[in-house]
Amino acid sequence: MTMNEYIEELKFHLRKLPNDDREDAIAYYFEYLAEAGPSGEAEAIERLGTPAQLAAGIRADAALEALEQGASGQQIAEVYGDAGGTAPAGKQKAPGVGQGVQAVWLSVLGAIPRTALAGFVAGLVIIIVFAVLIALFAVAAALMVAGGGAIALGLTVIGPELATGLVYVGGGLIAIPAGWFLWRFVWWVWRHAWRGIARMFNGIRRKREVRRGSK
Amino acid sequence: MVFQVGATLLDACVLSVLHGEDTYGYSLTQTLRSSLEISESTLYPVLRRLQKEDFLTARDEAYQGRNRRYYSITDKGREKVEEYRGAWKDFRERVDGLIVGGAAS
Repeated sequence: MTMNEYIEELKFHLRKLPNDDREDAIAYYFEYLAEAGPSGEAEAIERLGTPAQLAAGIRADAALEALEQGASGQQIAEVYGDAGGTAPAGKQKAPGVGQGVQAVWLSVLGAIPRTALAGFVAGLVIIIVFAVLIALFAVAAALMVAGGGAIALGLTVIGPELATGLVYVGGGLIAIPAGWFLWRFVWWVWRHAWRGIARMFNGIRRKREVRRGSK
Repeated sequence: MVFQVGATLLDACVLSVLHGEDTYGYSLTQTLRSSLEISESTLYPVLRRLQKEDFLTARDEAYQGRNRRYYSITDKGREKVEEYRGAWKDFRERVDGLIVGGAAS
């Protein structure tokens, strides 16, 4: 593969990135291969991996970068303006679940070489995280509902059976805030889990790249 | 290499090389590759991040009819290098105490 073919393929695989990010990456790797020169070009191309592999890493980095800056900036809207099609550019927007899931998706695809397997693993990771978090939401909701029920029941029997009534009311008063705290906690995890998972898979990919570099 | 190069150590190495002189991506990669086992695509995200954090700036210069992007360290980057140097010296002494010192005694 010649340098120009390599760059063209890289461009194709980066087509969904916003223009600035794509141009920046293309300029970097164009210059890189030009610096390697005619003699070092083939070797440099081999060590960079295929254009698809290189692009997968660049896209995963871009998605994670956007997610991490999301709370403070407009980057998310810009990065996902084409791909995700959510917020218009320039609008302040906190990273939502959509961006998080997308970052997880891209980082898993970047970390695992074979696309079919990577797609399967990425899907599986996303589904498992969804399932666990939704189950925890359900537990939190159940605690609050049961707490309310216990208080109501306790109040109806508090006249004739003071001790039993107090136990029910007391139990309810503990269960409701416990459920509420669990709810808030799961909500916090929900907002941060995606970033953590994306970061983890990006770490795996970087380690693999380091190993590839040591060959 | 037996020991892994983490993100912080890589940052410290990149900034330290640029503390010596301005250079461009390919040259910087080759300099680091002569001592560390990193891949050719390792530095792109690192350089981007260090620029975003104002440790580096980039400028474009014409070279043989194309562009060459030089990276320079900022004052904030120099401060960071000083911090890394102190931390590295401390870290090296502690590890030497365990590995080298442990073997000698």
